[in-house]
Amino acid sequence: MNTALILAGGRDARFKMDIPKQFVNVNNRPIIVYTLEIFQNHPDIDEIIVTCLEGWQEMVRVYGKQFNITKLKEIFPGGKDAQESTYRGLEILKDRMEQGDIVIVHDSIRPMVSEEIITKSIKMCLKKGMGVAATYIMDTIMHSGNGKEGYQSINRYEIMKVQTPQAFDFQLIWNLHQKAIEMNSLGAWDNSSMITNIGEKVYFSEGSDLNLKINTTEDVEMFRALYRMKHPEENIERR
Amino acid sequence: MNIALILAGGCGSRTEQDIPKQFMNVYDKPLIIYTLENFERHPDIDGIAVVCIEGWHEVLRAYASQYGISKLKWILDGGEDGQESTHKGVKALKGVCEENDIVLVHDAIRPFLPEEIITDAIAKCRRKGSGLSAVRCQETIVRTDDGKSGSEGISRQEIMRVQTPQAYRYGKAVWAYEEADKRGICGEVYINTLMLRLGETVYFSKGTEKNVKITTIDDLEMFKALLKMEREDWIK
Repeated sequence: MNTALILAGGRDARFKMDIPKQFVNVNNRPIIVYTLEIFQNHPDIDEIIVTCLEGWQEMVRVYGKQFNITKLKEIFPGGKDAQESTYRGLEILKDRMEQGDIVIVHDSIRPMVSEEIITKSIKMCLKKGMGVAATYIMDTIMHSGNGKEGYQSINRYEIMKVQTPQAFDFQLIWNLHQKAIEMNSLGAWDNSSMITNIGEKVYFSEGSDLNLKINTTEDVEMFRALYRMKHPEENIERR
Repeated sequence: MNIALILAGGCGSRTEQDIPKQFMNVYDKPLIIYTLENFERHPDIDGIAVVCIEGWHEVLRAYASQYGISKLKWILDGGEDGQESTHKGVKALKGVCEENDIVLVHDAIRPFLPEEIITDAIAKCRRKGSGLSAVRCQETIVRTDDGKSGSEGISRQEIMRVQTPQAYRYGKAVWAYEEADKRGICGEVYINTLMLRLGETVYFSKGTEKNVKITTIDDLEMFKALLKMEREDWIK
């Protein structure tokens, strides 16, 4: 069984709206609904659970019903960071997961993920125990601690920029989280950095630069523009 | 004097289209024209030179004329690779630029460029000798040998993603290529990494995530969305 764990527990202090990013409306639907729909429509996803920011669970539940996200099984409180939120999700799933089951962790604020990217992360997971979507960076990269000057470049083919989805064999990711707890390595903002923090290996799957992460109000605008380009039939009136 | 040197010598093998990326049309206008318009509009840019892919000089001339790119004064042949192309561009400005003038090197396939990015590159260059537009990474970074796996994270606070425009003191740019020839350095596609290889320190200026480098068809979609966003802004 493949379960999607959607991370919607965060509140970004830098985001300049009172409404948390994942709940901002685009064409009258909260961003999280777009994300849920992609996993709902994916043939290899069996269930969805959502770690949700306090106070917004009811909205997720109601919109889940409204948009027929029938695979949505559980909405539960988030933790302080992605590592903690994921762990809470794993705890909930522990009794239900069997040998070979997979959990696919994904940011709710990545509403443009394609079915193909999800499929590839699951495929890699079946081969290597995990498939973490990642891409190369297409710019020149330089070392710079202070962000003001640079004196050394890094070969851009020697680093990967990590995204979600991140598919993990359940037992493997459970064990990795246990190891992190034992080593007191906490507070990671995503599972791949938790893994490298404890000296373990991350296996990559194909990512995409169109798999936009909503960080700012401009990103919301970008998503809105991209969505409207793809769906001119929706014809939302400008106020 | 501040001269923009636009690199349009490439043939865009990664988009797998027959048309070079810089000449692909977006809403009926070649990408390179969007790029040139940013420099045309900027009050501190005095002239524009383009290193242009063979066979497209006349097309460029015609479109530039059509879209009123009056600052475009030089269309130059490219070289065998990026290093040679940029070198040719820098050399061609020898009669035009003095030591302390500024040359802004810019990819033709970066068509989205807010005015302040150009302004800051020039300002930093005047103060420090170079101004390379750059941004921090917003994602987790992992080191890898083969693009398949990695076990070492790199802090986002340790690295910068360098974009263009990159402003250099003209005298310095000339020196860099002459020094490269002297030392037999080749294959440095970008002037910024050439500078580093010669032991120079470079200085960063303001960049933006919106300064997309068009390398794939997906990137074209992003650019179209950015244009739409801009258009809707002023419609409001």
